[in-house]
Amino acid sequence: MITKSDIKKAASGDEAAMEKIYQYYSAFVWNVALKTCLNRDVAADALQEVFIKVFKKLGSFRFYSSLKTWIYRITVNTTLNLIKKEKRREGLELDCTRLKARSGEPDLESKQTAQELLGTLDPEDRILIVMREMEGMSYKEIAASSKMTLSSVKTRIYRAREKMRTAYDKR
Amino acid sequence: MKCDRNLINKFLDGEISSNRKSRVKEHIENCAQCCRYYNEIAKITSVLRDAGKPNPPAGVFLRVKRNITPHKAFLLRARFALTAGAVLTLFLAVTGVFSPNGANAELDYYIESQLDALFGEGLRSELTVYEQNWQTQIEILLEEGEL
Ligand SMILES: [Zn+2]
Repeated sequence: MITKSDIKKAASGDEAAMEKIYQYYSAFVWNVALKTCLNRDVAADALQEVFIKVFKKLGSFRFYSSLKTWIYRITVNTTLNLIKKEKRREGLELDCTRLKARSGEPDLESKQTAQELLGTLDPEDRILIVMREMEGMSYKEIAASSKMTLSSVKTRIYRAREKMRTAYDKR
Repeated sequence: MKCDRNLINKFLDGEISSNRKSRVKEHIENCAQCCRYYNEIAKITSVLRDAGKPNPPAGVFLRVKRNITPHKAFLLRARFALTAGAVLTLFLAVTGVFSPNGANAELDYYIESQLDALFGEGLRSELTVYEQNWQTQIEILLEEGEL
């Protein structure tokens, strides 16, 4: 558990408190970043950038929202922005052709498949799917983290599921 | 009941009231199209759920720490101050005016004012403010063999 006093200590530069917050939330940030970026290097940059922002801005955190939601929000923003920046810089295109080209019985068990399914989505939809299906977050939490309304989160997640299904069907 | 994919998604998410649940379930079980849709979405969500959560790479926290406080310019000044401070101390020790136990307040003041004159007045207070982070920076620099 991260307490209010941990947050205040970390905000004033206490390294033990900062590390505690990092240990507590880094798994979430990494999972979301890695599965949304689908690229280890970009995800590692995202992980680093998220926590730099968290600790730099922690002093202005006013406890209006929970720290969790606040960090989730920074994660969503940072990850999506980094993907955009990366795309602009080197035309990072996701290879979705494998999914369509492969024939025979679909093997939905492998890790590869999860990646391929995610690869059929835009980063904006992918991050919602990662939060919902892979992090098991409630629609309400996702809405708060992405600054979207509850109903639009649901609509987009249903549509993203549909999109993955269609891609899976076409194999 | 008509085919309704939103409803099937809600059913999958367990977001349907119990009195409607049985009607939706009945439809899915008796409608080939909806049954297929349901099974495929269920499969996809379970594949994603079971994909596992990898551990974050090591060393990121250290990089974060290094990034949030003393920036490069400050680091360079700190390193310069360390080296120059060592030279000055050595000089004072050699010439015999340095008091190792710090008992001589006047001398301490002299050394401090000399340091301030050399490196700017702000540095010493900056060093105090950042003392904790500063130590980390030194550890990092030592680790990287830069000091
Ligand atoms: Zn139907």
